[in-house]
Amino acid sequence: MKRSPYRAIGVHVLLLLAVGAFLMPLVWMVLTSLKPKDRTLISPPDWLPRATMASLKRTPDGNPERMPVEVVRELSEREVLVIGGLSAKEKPGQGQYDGLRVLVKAADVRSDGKWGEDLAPGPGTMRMKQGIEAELHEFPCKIIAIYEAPEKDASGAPANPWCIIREYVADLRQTSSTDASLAWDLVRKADVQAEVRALWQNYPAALNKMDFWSMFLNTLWICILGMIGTTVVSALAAYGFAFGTFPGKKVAFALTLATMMVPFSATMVPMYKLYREAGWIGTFKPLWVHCWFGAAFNIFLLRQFFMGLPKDLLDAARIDGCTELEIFWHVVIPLSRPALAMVALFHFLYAWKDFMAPLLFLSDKSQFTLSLGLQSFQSQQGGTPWHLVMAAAAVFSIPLILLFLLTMKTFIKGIATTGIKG
Amino acid sequence: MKTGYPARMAQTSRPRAWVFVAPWLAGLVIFTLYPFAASLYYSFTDYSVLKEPTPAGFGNYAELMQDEIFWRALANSLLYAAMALIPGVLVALGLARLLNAPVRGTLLYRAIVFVPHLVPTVAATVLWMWMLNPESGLLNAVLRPLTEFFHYKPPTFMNDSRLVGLDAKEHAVIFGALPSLALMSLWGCGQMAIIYLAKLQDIPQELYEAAELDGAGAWAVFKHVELPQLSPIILFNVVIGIIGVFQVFAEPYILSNGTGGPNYATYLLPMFIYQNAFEFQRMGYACAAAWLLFGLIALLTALAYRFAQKRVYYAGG
Repeated sequence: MKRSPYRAIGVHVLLLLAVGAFLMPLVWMVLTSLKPKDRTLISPPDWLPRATMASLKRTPDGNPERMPVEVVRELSEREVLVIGGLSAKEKPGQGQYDGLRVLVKAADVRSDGKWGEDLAPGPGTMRMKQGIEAELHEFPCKIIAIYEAPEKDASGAPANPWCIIREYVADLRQTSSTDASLAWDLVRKADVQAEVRALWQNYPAALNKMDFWSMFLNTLWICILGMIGTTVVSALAAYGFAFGTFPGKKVAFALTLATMMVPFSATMVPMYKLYREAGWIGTFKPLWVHCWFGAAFNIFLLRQFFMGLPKDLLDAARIDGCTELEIFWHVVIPLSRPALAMVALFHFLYAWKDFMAPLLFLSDKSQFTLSLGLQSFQSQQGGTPWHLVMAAAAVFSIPLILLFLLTMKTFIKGIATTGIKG
Repeated sequence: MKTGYPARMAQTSRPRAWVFVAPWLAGLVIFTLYPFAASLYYSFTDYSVLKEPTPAGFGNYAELMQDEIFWRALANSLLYAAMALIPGVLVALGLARLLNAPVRGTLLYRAIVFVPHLVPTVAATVLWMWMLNPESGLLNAVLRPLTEFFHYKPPTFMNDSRLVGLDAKEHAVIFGALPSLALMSLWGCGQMAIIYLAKLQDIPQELYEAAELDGAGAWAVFKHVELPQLSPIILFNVVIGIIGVFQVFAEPYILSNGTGGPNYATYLLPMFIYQNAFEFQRMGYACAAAWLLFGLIALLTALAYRFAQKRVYYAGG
């Protein structure tokens, strides 16, 4: 065929567009997982993750660093604030709080760290949100600032008002709102800016919150147990179907293929009853024991592969006096490594992704698989902390994608043969 | 061990191999045939986990025929199957042809197209829930400028129980919950594309050369060379697709928080069966619906084969 250069360019552009469309949701998942919560819910959304950045001292005697912060609120009225410091050395620096009247009250903290006098003093009223107020009382500070009525610009809006900022925490509900370990400060609004920045701390926060690692181990255990079982037993059955000469083989194989059409819904109620009577509901057994009896699809795939093996080798082994089991183990298995790897991979993939069976047969949260865990995490949170949900979803997907990249050849070949031989 | 068979016999006779099949046959009976038959029996009874089944004749089936929600679920399932399967097969075909183009980096492109199939169902579903978020989701970030150019509001996806269209009164684009579900399934069609691709690469070069000699254009090559060669694979994918698409449960369950909403828009048959069995404790009723679902799958599979009989080309018989 004639291939004009324009056609090649056109194909390439189409290809890039298509591939981009497939990749985009995954990119969006990772980008969302790196944003702060308040910036996930804006419309139209940011493409790149942006964090609200400002200078903040993480410890009272440390140097200010520019770090991700959360703006708790803007100051708009006259109020009294305690702006921190553990010792008299920590007076606000020159110009640090320009526009605030700063008082230093060295005697305000008693030796036990409690306040020595009532903190709702003279000028102005205490007007703080509940969380912040509580936070301040726990925090043995000495420096009190009085925020006067905000300056106005020409249009009457507050000009560059002060705001309370707090160190960014991926999941605030995990740390209590009165946690004095969170650094906070007062800064001018203009000094708080959104900058492109990836908040990797969302990941540990998400994983801790959903109890990821115990679910990861549960899932891994179920996958591996089932994978070994289904590979071994399906290979045995495939050997029987490929080489055996016993009455009823054809019928049994046809039945095997036909059962692939039976939907899970049509067997799940009696299965549930069976497992219930066996006392297996709420254990991992309903999720892996059946694998140790093989699976129709795997048997079909392996039989196809075994039929392609050189028959002479099998017959030679037979003449040499090998038993069927020896032929299976010493001749067929070593020759079938790629097909076995494919079946094992397919099972792992299937079991890692499965949602309905764990939903039916597991009840206790300590036994949840990652599928169940992520679903309940998402629905319990009402879906709002999308940054955390996306972080958890990304980590949940990584093992399969890694496995795929490591075994790409087996994988692609396997997928292709399932279709071609079918 | 000496078997004593002459060499000629050894080639054909392996009676003892049945032992290898025995565990599978036991499994087939315990985990498929018995439950399958038992659920047929339960479908003629009133049964909850707590009390033993009591015979009910055709009561469950008669009730299903009168149950509006069942009909809604059936209609949804058929609609969803059409909306997910037909575009899925077509997009996968187009994708396979693109991925077969002789350009640099195809291995990477193939991997990328396949990766969505590897994202666990629950992860993919929460991701799409977020993508479909009407205010801050990715889809509307892209669509909003487009629809607003025509002074229309962008679609609200999972909040809308309608299908697809334009709302003249509200000046809004309609793309509802069920089409959204189908769109999401389209994201996973890379697997199908890889299967087509493998077959495309198997097509003998002579066929292309012969077509070129005959002066066939790109479309004619596709229609007369590639399509006949691909037809058995298309049939395979359609059959696998039919079996799969009527069992979709996790995606609508998660997207609608277990309700099948909004207003039953994503309520598919598997969810009807699940809810009746495990939420309403009506297991006999659920089994009856499950058997109807099986009948539907069997019927559609048979139809697909029948339809394909004259149209599928098998090279070399």
